[in-house]
Amino acid sequence: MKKKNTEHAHGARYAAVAGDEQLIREFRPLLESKGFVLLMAHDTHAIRAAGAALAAGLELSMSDGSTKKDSLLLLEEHLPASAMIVSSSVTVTAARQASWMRHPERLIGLCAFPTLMNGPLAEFAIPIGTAASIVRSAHALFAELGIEMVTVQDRVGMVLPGILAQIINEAFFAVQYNVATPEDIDTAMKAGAGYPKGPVEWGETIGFPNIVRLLDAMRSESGEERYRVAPLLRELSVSGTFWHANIASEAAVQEVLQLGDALQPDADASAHTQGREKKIKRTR
Amino acid sequence: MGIAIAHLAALNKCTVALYDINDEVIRRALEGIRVSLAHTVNDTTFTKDDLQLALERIKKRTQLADLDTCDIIIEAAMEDLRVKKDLFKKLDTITHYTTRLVTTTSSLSITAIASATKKPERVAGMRFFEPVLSRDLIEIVTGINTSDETTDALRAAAGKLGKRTIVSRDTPGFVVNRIQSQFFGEALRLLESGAASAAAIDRIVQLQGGFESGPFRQIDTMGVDVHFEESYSLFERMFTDPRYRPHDIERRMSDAGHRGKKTKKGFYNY
Repeated sequence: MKKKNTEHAHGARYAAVAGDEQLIREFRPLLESKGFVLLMAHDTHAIRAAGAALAAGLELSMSDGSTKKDSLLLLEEHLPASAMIVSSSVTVTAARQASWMRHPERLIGLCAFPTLMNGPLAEFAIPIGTAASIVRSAHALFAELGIEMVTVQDRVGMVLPGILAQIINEAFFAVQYNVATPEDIDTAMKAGAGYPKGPVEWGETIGFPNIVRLLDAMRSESGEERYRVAPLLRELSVSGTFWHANIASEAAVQEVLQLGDALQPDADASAHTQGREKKIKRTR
Repeated sequence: MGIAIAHLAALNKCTVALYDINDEVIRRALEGIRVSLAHTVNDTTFTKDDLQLALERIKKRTQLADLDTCDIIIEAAMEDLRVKKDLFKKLDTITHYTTRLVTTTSSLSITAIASATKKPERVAGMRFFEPVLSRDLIEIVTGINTSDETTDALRAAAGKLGKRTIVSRDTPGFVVNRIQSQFFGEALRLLESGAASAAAIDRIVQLQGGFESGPFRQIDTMGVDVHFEESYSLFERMFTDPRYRPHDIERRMSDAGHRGKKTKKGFYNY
């Protein structure tokens, strides 16, 4: 039924989308509020049916390899030749992505990063080979969405995602080294430094795997040790949940402590238990 | 910083002794507080009588020994470990052992300062943030020997000043400066490598990120040279961990006299 609507809706405009669910979910309301109908990239029948009414292809993923490449090639194959392809270039430079394409002049890099999709401006990276007409079309499209395009150099991390990843990473080093509780760190940065969100809660909203993926990409791209990931953050990116949210009850805390105590000599058990209980409570 | 804290305390109905060895310095400080308070006088929430009472709560002190009746002594001397240790050694001898001795340092070790006293358990840090009157936070920093009683007493004192508190362990940069080092550090790296201009980075951080202010406006306000020195100090105290590496652009700007608002030229012109 949906396919029929796209085929016959007179005057409708379309955008084809591929990528991470979280990013699509964040960007979708803005596009739809401006009258765009979103088509998923794998729905090639609907994309072809949309024809010239398809304004752009959006590749919104934080992946760093074949998934992104596959999505771009899919969009390129099925989109009309005139349609621009706007792709997240936070973890892979736009230039590298352009090198995967048969028609690289269609590509523009966008700072598509969780929690940053609905601001009044957005960072863009424009590879050397991008056609001037595509840049003009992108300006027009994003102006219509109420987003000012700010062009930055084409590099992994762009501007704000790189800064955020570093802040969040440092917060997790601080948590890991017991400098302060996660709650106190968030309070400190909001009340003491004017941050809109605490770095711990911000990291949780962005998604720990996304932060780790970005830091790893920045480290790999720059070769700089300063982007090494806090071990706790990497651990959380694997567990996929906030570290203290796993402990649901006092009973569960006790269970965790008892499991740990089984590994301690009796004489030291009490002191170890007290120490760890305090630490866990501070972080809950 | 000391003057702003005295101002804050007096406004929050705390009696405060303002100490300096130089009587003229105190006189000027009190005049500054009076002028500042006078701007806020109105007919309802802060009357002329309130102004007078607030000023009367601030006592001038030029002798360290006159601080012996204070419950809490907050030191805001220059960021020099030798100077602070010397002061704390003297305070240790003239005050009762229940008096809490507090430093406002943003970069020195609380534990090192406390080592100058015989009772380091009563020593802690209280980091205020500019502007002191309106920033709603005090970072309480506990040294290795700081007692829970001291921490609790400082929490209560901060509450009387109308501030929220967080507790940080005594590690380089504490919480705020440590995390801010990445905010500034990454922005400086981006600028240094030509990724974007200072103005573009500030706009992105503010408008896309929702931060109160961009990194380069903030550095210009605090002073490019001051920020460079703080960054360098943190880098050294972190045993040259590359995550805290300072940036040469700030050193060159400082050398050129482009030190921010105070010299009317920094990352921006003023």
